[in-house]
Amino acid sequence: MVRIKHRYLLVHILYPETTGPNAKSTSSAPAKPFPHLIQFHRPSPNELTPQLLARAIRDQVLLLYGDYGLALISSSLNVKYLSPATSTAIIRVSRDHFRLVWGALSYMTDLPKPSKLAPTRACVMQVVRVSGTIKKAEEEAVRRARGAILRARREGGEGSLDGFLGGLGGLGGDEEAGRGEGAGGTGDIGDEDEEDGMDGESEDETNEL
Amino acid sequence: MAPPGPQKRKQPSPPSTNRAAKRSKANKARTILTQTSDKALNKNGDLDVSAFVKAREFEIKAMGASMAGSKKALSTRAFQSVPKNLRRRTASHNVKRVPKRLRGKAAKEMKDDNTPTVTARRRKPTPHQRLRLEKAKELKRLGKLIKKRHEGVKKQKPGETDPQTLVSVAPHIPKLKKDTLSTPAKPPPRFRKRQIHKSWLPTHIYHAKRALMTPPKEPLWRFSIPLTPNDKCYRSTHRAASARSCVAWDMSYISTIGVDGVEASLLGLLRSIGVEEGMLVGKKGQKWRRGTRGLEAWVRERDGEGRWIAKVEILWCLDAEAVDNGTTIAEKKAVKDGATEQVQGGGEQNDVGNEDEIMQDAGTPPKQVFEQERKKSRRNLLLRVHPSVFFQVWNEILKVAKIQRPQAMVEDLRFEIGSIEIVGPGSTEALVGALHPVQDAQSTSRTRTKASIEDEWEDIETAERIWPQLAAVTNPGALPANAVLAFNVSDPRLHHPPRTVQLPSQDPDNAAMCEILSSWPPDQTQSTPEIFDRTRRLTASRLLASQKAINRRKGDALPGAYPAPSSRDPKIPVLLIASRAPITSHQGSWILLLPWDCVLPVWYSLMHYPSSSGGNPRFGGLREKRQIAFEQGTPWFPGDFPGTKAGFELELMERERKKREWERRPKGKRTEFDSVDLGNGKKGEIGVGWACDWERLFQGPPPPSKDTDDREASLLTSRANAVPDDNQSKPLSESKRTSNVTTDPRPSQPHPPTDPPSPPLSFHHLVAPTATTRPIPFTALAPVHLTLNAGHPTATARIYRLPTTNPDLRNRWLTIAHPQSTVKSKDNKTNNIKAARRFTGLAKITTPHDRARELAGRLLPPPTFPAAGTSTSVPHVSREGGVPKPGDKDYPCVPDEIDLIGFVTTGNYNLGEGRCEAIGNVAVAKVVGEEGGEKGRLGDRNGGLCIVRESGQYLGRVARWRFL
Repeated sequence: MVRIKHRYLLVHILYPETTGPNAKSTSSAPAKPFPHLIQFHRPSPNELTPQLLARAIRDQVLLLYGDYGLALISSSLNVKYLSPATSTAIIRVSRDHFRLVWGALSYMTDLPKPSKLAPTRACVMQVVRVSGTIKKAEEEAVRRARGAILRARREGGEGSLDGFLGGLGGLGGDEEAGRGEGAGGTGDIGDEDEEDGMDGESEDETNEL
Repeated sequence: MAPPGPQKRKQPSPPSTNRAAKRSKANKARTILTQTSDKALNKNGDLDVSAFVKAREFEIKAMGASMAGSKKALSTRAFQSVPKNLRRRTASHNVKRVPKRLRGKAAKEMKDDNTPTVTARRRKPTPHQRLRLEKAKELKRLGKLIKKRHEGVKKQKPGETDPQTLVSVAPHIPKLKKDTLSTPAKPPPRFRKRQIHKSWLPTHIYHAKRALMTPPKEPLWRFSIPLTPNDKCYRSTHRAASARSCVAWDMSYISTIGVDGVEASLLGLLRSIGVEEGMLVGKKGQKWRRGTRGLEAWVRERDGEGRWIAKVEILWCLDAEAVDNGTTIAEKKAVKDGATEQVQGGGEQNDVGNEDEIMQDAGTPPKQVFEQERKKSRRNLLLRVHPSVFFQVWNEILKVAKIQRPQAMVEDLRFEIGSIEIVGPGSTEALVGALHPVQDAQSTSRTRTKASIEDEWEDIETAERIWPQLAAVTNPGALPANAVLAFNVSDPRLHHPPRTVQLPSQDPDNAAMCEILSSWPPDQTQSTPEIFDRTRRLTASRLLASQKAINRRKGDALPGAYPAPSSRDPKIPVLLIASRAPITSHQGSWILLLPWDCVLPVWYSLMHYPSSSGGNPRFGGLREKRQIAFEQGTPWFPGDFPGTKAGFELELMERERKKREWERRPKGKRTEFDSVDLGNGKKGEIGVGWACDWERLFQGPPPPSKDTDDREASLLTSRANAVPDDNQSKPLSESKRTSNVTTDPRPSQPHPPTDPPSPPLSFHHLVAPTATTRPIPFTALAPVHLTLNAGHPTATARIYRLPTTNPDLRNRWLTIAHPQSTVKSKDNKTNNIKAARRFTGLAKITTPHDRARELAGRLLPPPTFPAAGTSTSVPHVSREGGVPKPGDKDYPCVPDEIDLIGFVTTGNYNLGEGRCEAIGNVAVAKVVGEEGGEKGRLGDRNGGLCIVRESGQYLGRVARWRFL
C-alpha cells in the first residue's frame, strides 16, 4: 500500500527587536524590563493568517529554489495551525521536500506583509521540531508551552510559585545558566531549542525512513 | 446483463448525501483553535506575563482538545474494538464472527459497505444439506416435546432440593474395595453417551465452552482434557504466570492412589519403588514422613530392568496427636538416649480416642510401649500419578504392597479426589479469596485440652488461621518447600461472587508474615487432614446443597452480606501443597486437593475472583502447562521424557500427527526431508524428519543388510570409529571405556510385542545423570536444557555434540562458539593455560590500574556467548575476516551422524529469558566424558557446547546444554 507521507514542522516565530509596533506604550518604559523569553515570544499581529504565511513560504521557496522547488512543495504545503497569540505554527509538507521549506523558513527575516504598504518587521522563523505525525508536533508544542509558562512565571516576578513549580520544569538549570550570561541576542535563546529541533528531526528520520 | 437469480451483492447505493457532512465533521475535528494576538497582551496592548501565560495555557488546552478530537473522529470498524485476545484475521469483518455486543454495529457497517454476509456457497442448501436441515428441524421439535414432558414430571414433586426436607441421614456409603481399580461415577443420562470411552473432568462443561478440548474420538489418557483456551493467550499466559495475575488448571485428571498400612511396610513399599533412601530414613525426610511436607520423587519398576516410570507426588497423612507427642517424646528422648532415634519423630500414631492415655504416656514414655504403638498404628499415603502412567504405577504398587509384611492396602482414589493447580503471583490471593476455612468445633476443643508450650501457637497459628494471612504472598515458593496446609472450607458458592481480599500493606503486617513464613507454625499445629478420610470426603460432597437452595439462602441474606453459616453446611476437606520452582526466583505453584465433586464450585469461585491487580485468574490447558514448564526451564512430563513409557507413547502420537500433517501438504509446499543437504556430501534428513527418531539415534544409519546382529556390529564399529585418534589421552581412554561398555552384555532385550508403547531398543530414562556412576548404559536418555544465541529450534530439532571425527570442523565450530579466541588444536596446551588464566579472574592482576583496565576490557566488548566465560578480551590471536555468519560459504556444516546425541522435545522463544531456548533429550553415554579436548574448558559432566539443527534444515547453531 502506498501512503502519502508528510512531515509536520513546528515553528516558533521569534521577534528579535526589543520593541515592536505591538507595544504601543514603549515610551512609558516599564519599571522592570520583561524577561527575554516574553520579549522574544511576543504575539504576532492578527494580520498574519495561515494563508499569508503559506504564500510567504511559497514566495521564499520560489526565490531560493526556483520554479522546480516551488512545484515540489506547493502541492503538499499546508499551514495546519497558526496562533498569533503564541506565535506558533505547524506546517505540513511532504516528507521528501520538507528541507526546502525549512530552508525557506530559515531565510525569512521579515514577517510576511499583508500589503506592500505595511511596515516591515524583523522576525526569526525557528523550526523546533520535525515530526511524522501532527500529534507528535502537538505534543511538542504542549511541552514547550508548559516550559514557557514555568519560565515566564519564574522570571516574570511570580516568585512565589518558584518553590513547587521550579522542580517540574524539564528545562532546568542549564537554561537558567544560559540566561544568566546575557543581555542576549537572538542566539542565546535559540541555541538549545535549535538543537532540540535538530534532534527531533534526526530521530524522526531514523524512525521512519 | 445481470445474471438471473440472487445477485452476489446489492446494486451500489447512490453516492451518499452525507459525505459532505462527514467531511465537514472531520475537518472540524482536525482544526486547532487559536486566539488572536490581543489575548496575549494586556489591556493597553503591552506585553504582560499573566497574559503570556494565559495564551500558552489556552494553546495547551487547544492542542489537547485537538488530539482528543481527531482521535475520536477516526472512523473505526466494529472488529477494531474487539479485544486483542479475540481478534481474528480471516473474515474479521463478518458479523457472525464478532462478539455479540458488537454485532449490531458490525451489521450496520456491513450493510453500509454492502458486504455480503452469507457466502454464495451457503445461499441455497444443496440437496444433502436440505435433508440435514430438515432433520435438524425435526429433532428440535422432538426435543421441545420431550422437554415439555419432563417439565411436567418435575412439577409433580417439588421441594426435592429443599434443604429443609432433605434428610440428613447419611446414605450408605459403599466400602471402597481395596486393591481394585475404581470406575467413574455414572454420569447423568444426558451426558452418558459422551463419556463412554472417556471421563470428563469435573469442570468439563466450563472448559468445553472456552477451550479446545481433546477430540471426542481421541481422548488423552482416558480423559477429555482442555488443550488450550479458545482465546489467544500465549503472551498473556506468560504474563499471568510470572508477572501479574495467575493461571489455574483443573488437574483432576491426575490419578490418586491411596496406600494404607503400618509405617514400616509403607516405607518398605516406597523403598522398593525407588524413593530415595535419604528421604525414608534420617532427618532430611523427617517433615515429609510426619506429613507436613510433600515430596516429588521418581519411582521405578521393582523388577526387571528397574526402569524409571514417572515422577509422583507422595504425601503422608498427618496425625495431629502424633505430631505433638512426637515432638515432646523426641525432646525427652534426646535428653535420655542421645537422640539416635530422631527418625521416629513423626512415625508414631495413636488410635483416635485414646488420646488422654497417650498424653499420660507422653509424660513418662516407656520406650517399648511407644515402639509398639508406633509399629501397630496404620498410616496413610497418597500418591499423585500422571494418568499416562497410572496403570504402570498401580501395578507396581499393588505388587509391592502385597510383598510387605504386614501387607499394605492400596486404594484407587481416581474419581474421588480432584485437584486444581494454580501458578502466578496472584495465585495465593485468589485461593484465599475462594477458600474460606471453617473453624472446626472439635479442633478448637482439642487445642484447649492441650497443655504444652505450643499452646500460644495453637491459639493463633492453626492452619485455618494462617491461611487468610498468606494472601499477600506473591510466590508460593516463598513458603517452605512443599509445605502442606490442610483444613476444611465452607461451600464457596455461599461466598459467591468472591470479593477481593484485603492485602496487608503496613510494615508490621509484612513483618508478621515473614515471621510466619520463616517459622511456619503449621508444622506444629497442623491437624489431621480430613481429605484422607473417605467418609469425610463423601459427606462433604453429599452435603453440597443444590444451587437453588444456595440461591434461596443468598436471597434471604441481607444485601451485601453472605448467608449465615448453618450447621448443615458441608465442610469440604482441602489440602494445599505449595510447590517450588527449581529456580527459586520463578513462580512456585499451589496444588489444591479436594473431593472430586467439590472441584466445580471451587473452580467457579476461583475463576471469578477479582484480583487486587485487576482482572481474573486465567485458566490454561495442556499447552499452557507445557509453556510455563518450558519458561521455567523444567521438563514437562510426559512430553519431555521420551525415555519413559508414557513419554514414548506421546512421542508416537506426535509422530503420527505430524506425519499426517506432512502428508496433507502439497508436494511443493512441504519440507522434502530426503533432499536436505547436510554438507560433506551427506544428503537427506537423519531418520524420520517429523519425528524425534530415537530408534535411529541408537541404531545408527540403516545398514544394507537387515540382519540385527550385523546392525549391532556396525553400530559398535561406528562408535569405535567415532573416537578421534589425535585427541588427548584422557578422553581417548574415556571413550574407549564407554565403547567397552557397549560391548558389555547390557540389558537390551526388546520388549514383548504385546506392550507397544514401551520404548524399543530398551532405551530408557535416566534420573540424575550426573550422579550416576559409570558405566552409563548406552541407551540411557536424560533431559537437557539448551540455550542458544541465535536460531529458533522447535521440537524434533537434532542435537549434535561437537565433531569428534573431524578436528578441522571441530575447530571451526569452536571459532563460532568463541569468536574472539581462535582455537588451534596443536597448541592446545598453551590454550588451556591461557584459558585457565582468564578463568582465574581479576584477582591475579596486581595493580589497581591494571585491574580497572582489565575489568573495562571485559565489560566493553559485546557479549559473545552467555555462559562461555572464556570469550573475553585480550585475544591472543586476532582473527582476520571475523567469524563466518550463517549462509556464508565457510560456515561449518553440521557434524556426522556419529555425533548425533539427541533431539529437542520442546523449543521456542522464551519470553521470560528473551531468547530462544529448548529442552531436549540426549543419550547420556554419548556426552558424558566424550567432550574430547575440551574437557577442561567447556565440557564437564554437567554441560557443554552442542550444535542444534532444525529438522529439515541444513544450518547448525551453537548451543550450550546442561542436564536438568
